[in-house]
Amino acid sequence: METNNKYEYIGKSERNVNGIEKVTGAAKYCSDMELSRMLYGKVKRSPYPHARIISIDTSKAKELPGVKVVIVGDEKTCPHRFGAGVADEYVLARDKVLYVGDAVAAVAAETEDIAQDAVDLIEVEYEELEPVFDGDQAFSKNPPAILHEDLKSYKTIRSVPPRFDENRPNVFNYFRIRRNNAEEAFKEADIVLENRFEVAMIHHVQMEPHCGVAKVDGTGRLIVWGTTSKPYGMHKDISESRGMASSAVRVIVPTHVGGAFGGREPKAEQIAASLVLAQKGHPKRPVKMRFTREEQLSTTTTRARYIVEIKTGAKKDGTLVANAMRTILVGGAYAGTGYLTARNGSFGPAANYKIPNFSLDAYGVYTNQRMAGAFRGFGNAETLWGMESNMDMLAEALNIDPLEFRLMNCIDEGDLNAFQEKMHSVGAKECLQAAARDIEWGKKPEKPKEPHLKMGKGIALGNKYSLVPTASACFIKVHPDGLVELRTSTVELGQGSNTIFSQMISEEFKIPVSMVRVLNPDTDITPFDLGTASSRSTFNMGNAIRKACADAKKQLFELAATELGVAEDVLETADSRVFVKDFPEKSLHIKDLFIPMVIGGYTLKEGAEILGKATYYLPGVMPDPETGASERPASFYMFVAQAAEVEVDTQTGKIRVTKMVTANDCGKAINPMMVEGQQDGGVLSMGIGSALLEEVITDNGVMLNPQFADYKIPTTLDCPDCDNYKSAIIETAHREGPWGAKGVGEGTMVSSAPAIANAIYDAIGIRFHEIPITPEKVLRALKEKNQESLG
Amino acid sequence: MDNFKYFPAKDVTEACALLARYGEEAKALSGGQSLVSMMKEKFISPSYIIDIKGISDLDYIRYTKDDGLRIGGLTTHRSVEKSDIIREKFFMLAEMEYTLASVAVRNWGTVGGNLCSADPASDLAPTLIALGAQVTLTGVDTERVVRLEEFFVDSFETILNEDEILTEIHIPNAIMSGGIHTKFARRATDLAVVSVATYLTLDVSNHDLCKDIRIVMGSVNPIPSRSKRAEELIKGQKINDVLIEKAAQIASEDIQPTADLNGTEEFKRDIARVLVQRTIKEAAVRARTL
Amino acid sequence: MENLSLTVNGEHITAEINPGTTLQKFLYDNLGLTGTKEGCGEGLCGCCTVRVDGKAVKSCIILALQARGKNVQTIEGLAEGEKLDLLQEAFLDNGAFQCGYCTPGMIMAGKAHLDENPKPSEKDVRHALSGNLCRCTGYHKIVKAILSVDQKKVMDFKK
Ligand SMILES: Cc1cc2nc3c(=O)[nH]c(=O)nc-3n(C[C@H](O)[C@H](O)[C@H](O)COP(=O)(O)OP(=O)(O)OC[C@H]3O[C@@H](n4cnc5c(N)ncnc54)[C@H](O)[C@@H]3O)c2cc1C
Ligand code: FES
Ligand code: FES
Repeated sequence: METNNKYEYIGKSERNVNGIEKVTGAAKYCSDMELSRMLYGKVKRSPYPHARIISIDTSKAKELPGVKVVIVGDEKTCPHRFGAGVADEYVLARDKVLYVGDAVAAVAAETEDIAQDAVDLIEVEYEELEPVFDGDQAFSKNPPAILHEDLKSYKTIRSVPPRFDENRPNVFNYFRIRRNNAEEAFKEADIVLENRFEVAMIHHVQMEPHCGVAKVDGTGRLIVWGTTSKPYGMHKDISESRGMASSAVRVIVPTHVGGAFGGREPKAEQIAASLVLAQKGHPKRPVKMRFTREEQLSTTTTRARYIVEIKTGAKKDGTLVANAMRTILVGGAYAGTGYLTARNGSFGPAANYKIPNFSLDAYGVYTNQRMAGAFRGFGNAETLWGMESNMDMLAEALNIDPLEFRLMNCIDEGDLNAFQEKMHSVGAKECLQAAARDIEWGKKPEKPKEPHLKMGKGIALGNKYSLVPTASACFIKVHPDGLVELRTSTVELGQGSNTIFSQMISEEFKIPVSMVRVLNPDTDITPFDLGTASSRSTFNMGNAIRKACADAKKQLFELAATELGVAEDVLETADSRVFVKDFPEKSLHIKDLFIPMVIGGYTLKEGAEILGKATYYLPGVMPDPETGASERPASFYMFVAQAAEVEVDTQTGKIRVTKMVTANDCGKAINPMMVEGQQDGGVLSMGIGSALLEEVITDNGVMLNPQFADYKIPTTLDCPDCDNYKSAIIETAHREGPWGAKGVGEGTMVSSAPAIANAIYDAIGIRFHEIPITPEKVLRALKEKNQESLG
Repeated sequence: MDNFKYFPAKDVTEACALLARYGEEAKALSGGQSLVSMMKEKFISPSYIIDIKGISDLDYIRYTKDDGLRIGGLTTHRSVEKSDIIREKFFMLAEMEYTLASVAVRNWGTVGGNLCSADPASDLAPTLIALGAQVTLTGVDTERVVRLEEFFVDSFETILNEDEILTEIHIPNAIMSGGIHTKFARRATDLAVVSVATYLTLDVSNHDLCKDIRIVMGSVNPIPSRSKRAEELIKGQKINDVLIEKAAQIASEDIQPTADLNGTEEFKRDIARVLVQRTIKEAAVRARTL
Repeated sequence: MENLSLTVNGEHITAEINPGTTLQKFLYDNLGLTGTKEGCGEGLCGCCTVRVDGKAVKSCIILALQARGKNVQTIEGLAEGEKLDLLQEAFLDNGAFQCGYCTPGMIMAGKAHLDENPKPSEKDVRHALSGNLCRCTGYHKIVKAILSVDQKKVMDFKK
């Protein structure tokens, strides 16, 4: 897809710049790292969901040959708590364990096997405490368990601080929106529908399990490699939890990370760091801490169970008048990024439709499960699951076509959202139209071959904001041979950021992508970035890159102007040359600006290097604590509409997604092939997976399905065929976006589950209030329905 | 899983001798697709591994009109899936293999290994039982041929003696017969939650009459098992929808499924009923046309 | 310890290994062929897919000793010198990978299938890859890349 493109590199489906390494097996991931004299770490984990630690006996473990370090959670190893918004977590649990899998001790040994044997020799005595798992119970004023008795005394972050609830001791964040008066307005509505929806806990299932490697260099500085998507966030966690000077820590992320999707809280890295620092004397040996697949699936961050209570009112003609919601993110033992997810899950519902009266109360609560935090969509796939199901029910009650109903009410350029922010760059309508076109809305599905097969179509609308306050910084270095190097802390997680950044630089310098290089994140070398999250890289880092390129070019032209004897402003650059715009023959190669030196190398007379630098900073406006009102609560919004066609086997309950389409408004698509890649993965793997297959199943806090056999992500055979899947790119430019670009990654699964569920309703007339929708749930519902119609 | 001694056996005699020598501390290894995983998980820790995969004499597929089909115990799933003669004469077997695990597992895993694992979720076992298969078990000085349905004792347990290996599978020829294996699983590549293999023979003189039928269910009992009550109901009868529905109901009552992550007992019975019904119908159609 | 001799990516190799060493561990640890990743170790994800005598297998559940005398090919042995295999090119052209963690296994499974079935249907390809999990791509572009190889051959021939 290339729409009236006036650019040379922007808007082109360039190959992935890291592709050769990936297709030849040369790509090295953190888990492939080996350092000389490396030790291997393993973690002792709690078997109880909630318990007091009475004693830990590590003597047998220490005696095992090959064991070099054994640590437990104490003042020495982990003096301070850390956390994204609330500092509520120690590297290793102290006093209390709060979930099954909570880390209580760790071992580093010559081999992983020895470390594991040692872990098995550690004896921990616990006093069990009553746990709480259920969201409603945890949320209540008198919960069966309080996880953090001293919550109020914990350190919280200054930028976007969490808000606790006096009366509800497990609430780690509360956020509210009040636009006009929803309760009053319901009285004006002809139809009001109130429903409760839930989503099950799911896991990101990044293909590379979590891994950290740590070492201390000759000067005593701690260096940590990891699979994190937020090098500077991890940098803060590591230094703060140990009270180390921030300059005493260096974080490096390899060029290749095996996926993130939001779930890369740096636990493995933290433990690796502790196992290095605990070694006595010098030199200390490096430690690698690689979680097993089972550890990854059963102890690392999840997408929380979410409870969405929604009440929506409309006029007979279909006009929405009011919407009231209460959402609870049923979080884990530690808030992690979940504190922000709980709040920001409200953005999707707030910006989907024109609703003059809107109220929303969003909570995040602690329960005795592992941490729940960011997951592609950041709460909005969950809240929109509720909203988009309720919208379909409302459409039916009003006897209006679900597509029409959405088109009538969807938000548009200049409309106010629930924050009373004036919307800009809104592709909602175009997305709906494209999805409707591609699914052939209005045309009945083909008649199934067997009478027990029922088919149906469904559609849903969604959006995903990107957060403020936000900042990205970068350096652009122009090498003497003309190669342009980007130093950025954006992590290449597979989404292709290195490629689109290269294209941006190519566009700015008019050089082929092969003449651009992107360095991997390294806090010694690459400057601050908020993190590879919130679909923010293209927009934020993209803007920083543009500015830094302008800075570098300015330096370049200053130097060239002197050499060529012209004014700076008549100069341009292309193909590693600088030339006079109207007289291109007057030109020089970039290398001619450098002076070759006697022993070797090149120098400039002044200024050391051609080094552009820039920060893109967007503070936004913090929402009013009572009403949520803000002129700029987000940096931009991406819209998406998706539609599904399903076939339901009414005898077995099995659901097949026969067609799936998605239309994503990402602003200018810098690399359409990579936008499609995001769409494909979001819709086909995570959208279908979360709607129909995936669920973390627990019993008393123990995960029962921590293997690929039982935690079921879609395979090639669970996705519709190539001809029955369509992705459309809607390019609604953003005035502040680089080349008009916004983002895409998270917008790709926020409406998949409701589209599929709405299609199921169309097929069999059953409304599901919880995902995943499994064959057994379908059969049970069908039986109940049959009994009702008989009785 | 490093604490074992490894012996590659060159032929059946050597394999049986080694198995006899080390007794219960030894395990035969064919493809290892089950065994290696179990050893990694430390479910079992044999001290001696007798690798029989190299015994190429046991890797064959032979067919004659009189004798029927003979498959060597070390034949891979993939060879069975791809075999032209099996596709032609025992289509349900090739068709089942196409859905068993994934290509890479089928490329290395063997039919003997599958049966000897005695996994209740085996897709091969119900299919072969439906086809009336017998297996040859060879020991140090012994050789016995048993009907496959008598081979299984309990989940993960067979009648194999310590020195025996499964050397051959034999399927008799049949006329006017047809069958199908179907499984229900959340994803195509998953182990069956319920599987059913049905093989039906029609009366040569009256194509509406069922002469013989075997209905075998997998995953719902500790061992693959026939629903003889359902079979009796249909045998000798004119096949019709009402009869099939009744038989399916009976078959679903004959099983002892356990509730687990894949579903409740009730759900599994529901699925079993549906699959039995569907397989009988399809088997009858195939018997007529094949 | 046991002696093992086999061919890996065209090179004859002899080694002394522990009998419990899986083929994946042997390739990854002993030979440093880190493209062959262990994603689950139990045959469920396909990250460790390599070819033994041309056939795709899951190297995490095969003992290295069972590859005695056999020809093993890993992702590192697919390109001929500088020249990438057509399937590798197709993965690049189609954007058939993101994080790349599943990619070596996907390519080896795809390549083994194409050698058996040079003109596959989409159904063939989806079946051939059903034991290889990918979380990033939803498989769409992977399937397309594999299907495109046949086309590519035609184009190369014309050139
Ligand atoms: C990911 C995955 C998915 C799977 N999905 C399915 C599926 O959907 N349906 C299905 O039916 N199966 C499935 N399987 C099981 C697979 O078919 C079996 O693992 C395989 O057939 C076993 O054969 P093998 O040669 O690898 O046996 P091994 O693993 O080598 O041996 C298994 C057992 O049998 C014994 N043994 C092996 N051969 C003989 C012999 N000839 N005589 C005596 N004893 C012997 C061994 O001692 C061992 O106890 C799956 C396996 C995997 C790994
Ligand atoms: S690592 Fe071998 S299949 Fe997952
Ligand atoms: S590309 Fe990331 S798992 Fe496949």
